[in-house]
Amino acid sequence: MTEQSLPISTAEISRQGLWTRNAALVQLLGLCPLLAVSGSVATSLGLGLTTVFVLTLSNTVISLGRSLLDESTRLPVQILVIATFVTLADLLLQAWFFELHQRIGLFVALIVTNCTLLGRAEVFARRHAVTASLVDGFMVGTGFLVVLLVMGAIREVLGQGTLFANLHLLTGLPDMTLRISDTRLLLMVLPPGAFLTLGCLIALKNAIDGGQR
Amino acid sequence: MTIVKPALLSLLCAVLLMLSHQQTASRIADNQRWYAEQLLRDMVPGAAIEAGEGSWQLYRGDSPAGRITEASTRQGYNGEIRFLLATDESGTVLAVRVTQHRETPGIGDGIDHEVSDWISQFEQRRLAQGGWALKPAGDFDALSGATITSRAMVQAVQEALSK
Repeated sequence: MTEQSLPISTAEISRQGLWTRNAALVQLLGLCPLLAVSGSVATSLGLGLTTVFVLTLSNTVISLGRSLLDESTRLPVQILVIATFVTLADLLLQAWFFELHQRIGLFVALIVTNCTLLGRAEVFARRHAVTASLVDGFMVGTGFLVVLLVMGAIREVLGQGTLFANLHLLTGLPDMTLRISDTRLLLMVLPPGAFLTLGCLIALKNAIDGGQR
Repeated sequence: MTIVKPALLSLLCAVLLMLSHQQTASRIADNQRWYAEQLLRDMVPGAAIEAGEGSWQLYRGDSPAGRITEASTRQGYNGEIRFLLATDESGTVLAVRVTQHRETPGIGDGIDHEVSDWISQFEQRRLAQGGWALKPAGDFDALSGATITSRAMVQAVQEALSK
């Protein structure tokens, strides 16, 4: 390995993962699950938490084994680690959150192809110490989760007139569906609604950052 | 030997997944069975359900109370619609539930009982009483904006009943 471990503070990792290099809003990675499951808060939370789980574990394990990685085989090895944890998460969801899995199951397997995960393994985990990689995985995952949740909330309120529908499937708490309105904007439920929402969020983030440039 | 380390790692991953599969397999199978039966129980509350060849026999007390069969149609708007049809001994529809479909969200997905109760207008209908078409030619309300989906379901249920 020619690359040195670069020292980087936890605060900086968090700032980059959550905001300045947010996977969904800046790097535009992982759009497939982001656009597909952001129709409601419940599905967003389910897939977002699964992504945080997988990303944290895969980053940690790849960092642990970074001295074993060599140039020619590192990509398949990284994908193998990621795929293992995705399968593990899939089994756990089926065993303990079966009804949620009925809704997001198709997209759980697609987390393997979420470029955010391979991206963090390649860019961060194989060049940094274990603790830093763990924090990075968690923070980047959380940044992705937050964007998913915001999109889920916007699309659910505008598209279905509800908030937190089906959330009890995930939390085990009583049904806490809020009826916001009876107006349903069909466009927001359909795929174009996801693109429009994401576009607005990116614009909003750029507007907030605008003053700093 | 660049191959040794990846091979060992693959083995490690395989073992990890094998162990977690062993730990969760029976629980997952229970969940799947419970979920499938839950749907059937919702269709015919109170009836005892006995699985048969491609259909389910219903009993109330000891006497047969009808059956649940599976059917499908490809006349919908997007791909196959699969559904379960419960009828009593005289052929009267007890309930219809769509189990799988890819109709447009927000429009055609009203055939899903969780989305709207459109599907309940089949209940208590009989093949012989006619009117198996959308209004005004027949007796059935169409889902607004989803005439193709609605017509497909009316035809498919009628066909399933005449078998």
